[in-house]
Amino acid sequence: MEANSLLRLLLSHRRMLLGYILSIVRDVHLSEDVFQAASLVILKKGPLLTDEADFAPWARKIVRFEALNMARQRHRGPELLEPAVLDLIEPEWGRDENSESVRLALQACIETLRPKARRLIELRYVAGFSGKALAAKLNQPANTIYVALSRIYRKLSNCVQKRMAYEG
Amino acid sequence: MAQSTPTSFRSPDEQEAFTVLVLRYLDDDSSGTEVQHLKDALGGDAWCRELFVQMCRMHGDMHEAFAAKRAALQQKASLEKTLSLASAGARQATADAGVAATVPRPARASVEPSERLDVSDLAGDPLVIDDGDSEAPAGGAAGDTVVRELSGEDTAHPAPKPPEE
Repeated sequence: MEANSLLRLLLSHRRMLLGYILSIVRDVHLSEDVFQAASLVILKKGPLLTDEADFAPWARKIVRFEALNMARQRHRGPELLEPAVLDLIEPEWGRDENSESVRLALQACIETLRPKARRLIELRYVAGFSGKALAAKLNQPANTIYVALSRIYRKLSNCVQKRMAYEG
Repeated sequence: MAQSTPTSFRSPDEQEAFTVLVLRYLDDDSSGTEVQHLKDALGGDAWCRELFVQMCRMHGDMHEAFAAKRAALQQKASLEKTLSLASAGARQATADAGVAATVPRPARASVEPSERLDVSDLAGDPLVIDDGDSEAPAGGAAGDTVVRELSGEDTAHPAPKPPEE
């Protein structure tokens, strides 16, 4: 496969791969490091790939190896997603999705959030507060924050599904 | 984010409990017992695996969705740090020259940029939540109100509850 095609596939699958990495390393900065390291391997070994349909599962294997490797190096634990669990989950990651449509739908759905929900999400994803840090910042029990976040996620998820269904 | 609906197979409470478990895991904030619980759930329940991946996808999507805003905020914090260091350098140079320092000291010069990312730096007014009982359990009435407010539900005009059996 040519370098241009590889790069296009890598960028179009970036969000999925980041989610996959986060599920293993649970650290935003480390996940970016993993993505960069894996990208180099993907671009180096990619010419051996012949079918675009094989890209996503193949890229996940590389990303998984790099993520587990870096997580071990940084002594992160407990390492929940050992190979057996990752193997069980793999089919779920393989579900087809139109990445760009989902991105646009999510962007639109975020805009529909009420101000407080929007601010909570921004504190988490812009300022980088974890649920625990948010709880301390807002003087609330951690579980209150996590439950609120889970409801916001559900709303966004439902909103994205509706938009995707509407778009057909 | 998966486009199927694992929610249709379980109650909202079950979905919420599992989502909280996943969120705590993603924050690296799980106890050993919670991690084991999550591990068992993922190993033995296809519904949990589907929801887990949906959550992880959403987590990654959200990071990407706010990447530009996050970078702008970090740039602002970095700029503030540079200015504060320059200001401190100017003060030192003035002191070394034996002249009384006239440059005002920055209020929080010793604080790292990431710590200075304040609620008020974000869009809108500071998020003030005070129901007078911050220690209330999340499952209590006060805690429930806070959760509904935080998640953006209409607490002034709540949806009618179904009649009790």
